Amino acid sequence: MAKVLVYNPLKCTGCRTCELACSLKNHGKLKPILARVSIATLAHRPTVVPIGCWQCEDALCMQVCTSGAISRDEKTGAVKIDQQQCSGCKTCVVACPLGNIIVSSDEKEVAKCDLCGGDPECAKFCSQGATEYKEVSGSYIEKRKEIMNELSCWYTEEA
Amino acid sequence: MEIKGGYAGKYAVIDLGKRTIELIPHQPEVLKKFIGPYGVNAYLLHQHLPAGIDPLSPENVIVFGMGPCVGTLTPAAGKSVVTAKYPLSGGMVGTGNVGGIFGSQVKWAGFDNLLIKGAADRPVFLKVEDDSIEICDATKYWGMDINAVTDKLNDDYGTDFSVFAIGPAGENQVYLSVGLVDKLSTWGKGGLAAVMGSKNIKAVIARGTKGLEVARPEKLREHCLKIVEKARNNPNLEEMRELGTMAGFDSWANITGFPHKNHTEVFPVDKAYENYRPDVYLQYKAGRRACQSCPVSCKDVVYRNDKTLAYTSSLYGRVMNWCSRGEIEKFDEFITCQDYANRMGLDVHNFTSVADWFVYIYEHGIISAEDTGGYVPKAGYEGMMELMEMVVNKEGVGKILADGYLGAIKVFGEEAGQHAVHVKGMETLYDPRLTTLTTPDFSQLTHNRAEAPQGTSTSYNQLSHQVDSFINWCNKIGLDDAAQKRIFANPWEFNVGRITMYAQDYWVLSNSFGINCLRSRVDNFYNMKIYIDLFEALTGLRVTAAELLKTGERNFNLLKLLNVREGFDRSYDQPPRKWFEPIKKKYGKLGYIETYFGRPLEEEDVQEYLDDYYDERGWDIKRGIPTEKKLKELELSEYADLLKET
Repeated sequence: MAKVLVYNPLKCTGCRTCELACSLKNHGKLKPILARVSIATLAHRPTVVPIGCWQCEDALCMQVCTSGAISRDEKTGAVKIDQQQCSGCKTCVVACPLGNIIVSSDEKEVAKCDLCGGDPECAKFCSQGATEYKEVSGSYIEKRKEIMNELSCWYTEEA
Repeated sequence: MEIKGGYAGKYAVIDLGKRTIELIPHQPEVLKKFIGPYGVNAYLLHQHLPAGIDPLSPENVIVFGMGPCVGTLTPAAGKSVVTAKYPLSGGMVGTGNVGGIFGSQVKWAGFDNLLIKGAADRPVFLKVEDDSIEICDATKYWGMDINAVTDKLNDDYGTDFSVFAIGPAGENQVYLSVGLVDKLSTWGKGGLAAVMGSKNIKAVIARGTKGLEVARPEKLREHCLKIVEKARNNPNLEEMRELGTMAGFDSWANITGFPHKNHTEVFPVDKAYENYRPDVYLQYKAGRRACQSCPVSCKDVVYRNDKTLAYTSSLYGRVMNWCSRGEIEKFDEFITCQDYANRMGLDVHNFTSVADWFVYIYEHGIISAEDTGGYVPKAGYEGMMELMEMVVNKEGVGKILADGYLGAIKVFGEEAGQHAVHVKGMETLYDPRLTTLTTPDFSQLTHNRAEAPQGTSTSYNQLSHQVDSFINWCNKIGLDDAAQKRIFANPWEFNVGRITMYAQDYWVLSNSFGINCLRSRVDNFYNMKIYIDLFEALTGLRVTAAELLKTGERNFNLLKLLNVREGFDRSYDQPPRKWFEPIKKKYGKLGYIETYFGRPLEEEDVQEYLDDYYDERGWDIKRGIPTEKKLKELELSEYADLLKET
């Protein structure tokens, strides 16, 4: 069974190590805006949620790409961008429902998570187990409910 | 010399009076010589801060600084340092540290240091963003509490701005005030917020998208991954995740105990367990937060009874103070007090300590209603909330207490002063009658901050280590044999005066790198070799362990010189009188000051340790200040004029 990246907001402490680890590995720089994973924070709330590419089964980025630059890596299951074929039109950036395709002004290219070729750096650097790269089995629905239940307290409270 | 990464490479001089901003490149030689903010801030203050000024006058200068590891993936390297002349300690030039992401954002925006001088004629805040700094109008934010102003600034400018703000206590120039980074991390104990208030700065907000270069990215990655793996495999990680700093509860509540009733007894063990044991805490826990890249998540988000949220850094220290000094009996009430202090920007350690003393001297008839303007101080929730409000707004007797021990002693008289447990106006966090006279306790007398910052520990405050573990510590920091022979002259103990010098210098060094949160939990992952490797990976420069330890010493001395200039000599490094009186411990036993290994100490012994401390530092023992010879050795000869007796 293929492994997937699993993010758990309940374990995330917002230390943002994953962002720096990602930008260092993929761009050789310490620059969080280049990271393909990001920690989203809510205004007024302490809530932090790690957000990264879900490698969608029916990936919108792949569908809208007119250059045929986006394809799935059969080995890892990652949706990848071939920089040679990419025309830089950025339609995929708009299409991604999660905002997970980034525009790197440094390198003048669009980039997205490719699971680091099957060994994702973010999971390696997460000391809290909030980002894990693992095989998934069983029902995730219950787990998600559990997490959403917990998070809902934070979304509804009026400070 | 070329530095290929790790630093942003420039600093800004912001003159609020003239409304000018100057961006100045750092000289690589200066960065190499001092490594980071503890030294660089002091170096800049020597150029900009005039001697003998009032800390709350426009002449005071605030320098924020970030070390080479900040914002670079290095685990636990989220710490920034602020240096200024502080009002609470009677005008010492000291430092304060903060975590969070503020320092990283400033560095990603292109600055290693921000120097603020002068005073604005109306409320302002500073907006730091990608190579630019703007002095903005803060009229609409003035008067807001810290949570409100942080939220408002995030609304107005974006949640990706990190906000360092002061509250009403700072605006009113209360010496017991602090500022907070992103509502979570306190910064500038000793009255930094009052200094900012005097300059009319409400906040500094920062966002950086430039990022940082690294000399050897692959090496940096390798070193950092090793530390992360060490942290992940730490057997205490699960407990830390579950309880945070409350994991240390037993050590406080039962093993060492914490001073109660103005350092005359310890807080009762049964009461501590009844109201504050870890499972009570878990009923209130909402989540845990960490500073930039830190595997130790010590910041807490907790629910109050009405399910609203409150924030606090390092909960356990706050619990200790509120319950043992403020006599707050319920966890929910503790959270309310803590939340109020945070919103107002009042330092909890400072406030609870002064309040405890105030209640004590009143109840013991040393001061009367005449001195307090009719106000009857009392411990407990209502008393503390009332007193906090009076201090924040400087109403009634609150105006006297707002100036801390030194100011209040001037009003209440010398007899009241005899009961105050402080060094240079700063309360002593560690009481050697409970924790024994080890490095954090002794450091309180001689540290530049007039207080022992966490981390001058050689082994964390647990009373079970053998001499070996201290020898191991000395080896870990690369201390030479000659120094070790002096420290361990008796094979069955260590000389606390001598070892404290290295505890301080190592702390200053870590502080300069940006990893100065040296609770043993963090320091366990570090040693001198790791610092050397990290520095090389980040900057491309190779240094030795001896050079690094020397840098720590140089930085400590450079900051000390600013205080020598202000007249702080040995006569100020004196222990509180209470240390030599018995304290009532559990089961009615009496506690006395003793060495780590249980040898009782007299006042003269502590003076001898002071002799040893100055001797180890190569300082003038009588005056307790550096010598010309020492400055020459540390390449600080250009400051030798400051040593002349006036």
